[in-house]
Amino acid sequence: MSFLKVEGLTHIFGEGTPYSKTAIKNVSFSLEKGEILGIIGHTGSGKSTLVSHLNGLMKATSGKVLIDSKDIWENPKEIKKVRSKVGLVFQYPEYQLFEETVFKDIAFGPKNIGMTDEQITGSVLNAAKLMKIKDELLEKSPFDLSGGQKRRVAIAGVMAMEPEIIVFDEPTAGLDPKGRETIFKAIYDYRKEHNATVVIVSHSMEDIAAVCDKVLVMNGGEVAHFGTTREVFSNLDDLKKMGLNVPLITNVMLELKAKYKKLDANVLTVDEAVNSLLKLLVKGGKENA
Amino acid sequence: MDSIIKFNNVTFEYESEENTSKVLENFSLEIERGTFNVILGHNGSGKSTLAKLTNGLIKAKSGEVLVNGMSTMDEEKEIDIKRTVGLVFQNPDNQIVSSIVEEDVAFGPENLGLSPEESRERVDNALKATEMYEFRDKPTHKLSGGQKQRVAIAGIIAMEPECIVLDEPTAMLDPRGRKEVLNTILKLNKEKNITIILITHFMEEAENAHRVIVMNDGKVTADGKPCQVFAQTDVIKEAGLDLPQTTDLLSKLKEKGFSVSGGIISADECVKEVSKLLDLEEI
Repeated sequence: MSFLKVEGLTHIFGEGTPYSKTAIKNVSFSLEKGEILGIIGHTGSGKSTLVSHLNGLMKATSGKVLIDSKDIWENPKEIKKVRSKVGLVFQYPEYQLFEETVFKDIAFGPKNIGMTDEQITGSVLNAAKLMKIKDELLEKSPFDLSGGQKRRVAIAGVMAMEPEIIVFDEPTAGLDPKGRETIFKAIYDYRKEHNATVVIVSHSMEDIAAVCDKVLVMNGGEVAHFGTTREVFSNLDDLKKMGLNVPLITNVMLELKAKYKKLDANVLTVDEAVNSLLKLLVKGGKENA
Repeated sequence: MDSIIKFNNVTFEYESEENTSKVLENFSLEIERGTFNVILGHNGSGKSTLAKLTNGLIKAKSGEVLVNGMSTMDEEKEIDIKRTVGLVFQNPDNQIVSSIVEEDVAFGPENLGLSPEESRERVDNALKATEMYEFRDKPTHKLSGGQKQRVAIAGIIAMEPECIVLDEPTAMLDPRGRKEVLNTILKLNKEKNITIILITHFMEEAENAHRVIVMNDGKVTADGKPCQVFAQTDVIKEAGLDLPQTTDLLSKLKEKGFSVSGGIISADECVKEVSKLLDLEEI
């Protein structure tokens, strides 16, 4: 029984006008509880439009989003409840900070979905801990923080609502490697703690390969591939045609495989590649051998 | 060395009510005219401060920054210096001032007091150099991130600087936009001989540089040709940078005792290097 199910989702902007444009077309996929999905596709392929449907921020022209087998639009008056179940972290969420203190900013979401004061304090502190926001920062103005810290505060604000599904649109864009690592680690920890389903939109094939269980490839508003990360990244030629790629290491191994048939090129990380190569590198090449 | 920019014992600190933090201390660096330089470092390593110091946008606390021998502290030289060194920042949306592409690019030249004919010529040349000429009458808000960033670069080129300093110009772009911007920068260096200082934390962007400088805690921890710098994997990791997967693979094979050369980034060279090992096996 899948937890999040998207069925034949189509969204047409300006339907019936001369400017009508189909942003996404007949998109279907499903995820279990606790799974991490990566969505890839180049700019304009419909990724952001798709994720805006998952919490009812946009309403599809046709098709359904089901959470726990229930259509989120079954009762339109209750769509607000869906928003506390599905958290959406936009691109550059740090531009959305506005409160006087970091604590108040993180507490804004939980307060709006009707948590009690006690619950709010608990969930804010927990989210701050997950996002590695030190206690002494909580009473500071969010505008005094560094860019990386602001990003973490903004994400903590969504995590504090304790959603069962959490969607990230380019969560690490513009961050340096350390900042990226902190955020991915927090996403992992959050998933573990809440058995949450996670959706990550990213341009980095390497990050997707390292983090996601499944991958959805969007192309021209349609699903081009959906499957396990390994399955999807075995389609090098097809992904290249769409202006996408596979992780650099997978690319290198596939090129080597063209020459050395015995090589297992089905790798997603550098460590997997090293192991695969070591199986063949038994004799030569060693220094002082 | 015929240097265009020279940092002599520069110290810079940010002061806030609570504390002062030194970003650069007794920092010295020379940039050779006409070269393509990449400065790598994590957030907070002092690289953006360095960018703003190069054309006097901020001033050193002590020491001096010289542009073509002119000190950025010399107020009389301020305009000359800003014409010599142009800055491009991370967020394309913050750098666009007009609603139409060519008007945006013309903003600088018009402020230089050039004749309309000369302005026109400079704008056209700048748009051609960044391959944005066909977009010249398009509204700026309809461009992609990479296109906006190229308009920002065109605006700088129209000022005809001798040196362009780019502070993480690709950080907010998708892979296609990154490639577009990087190709533009490379071309400006090769064809117009403009000195480039590219500040980034993407090591892949340093592959074609003449010189790579790694910064950590306000200090230069590695400096040299790309292959020399990338071979120092420890220094790079210490600086909080990610090794490209190709470099990482070769360095891990080396750790296992295999003889491979370090400092490789490109996929092709990595394939060649690993092939040498596989060729020794009977497979």
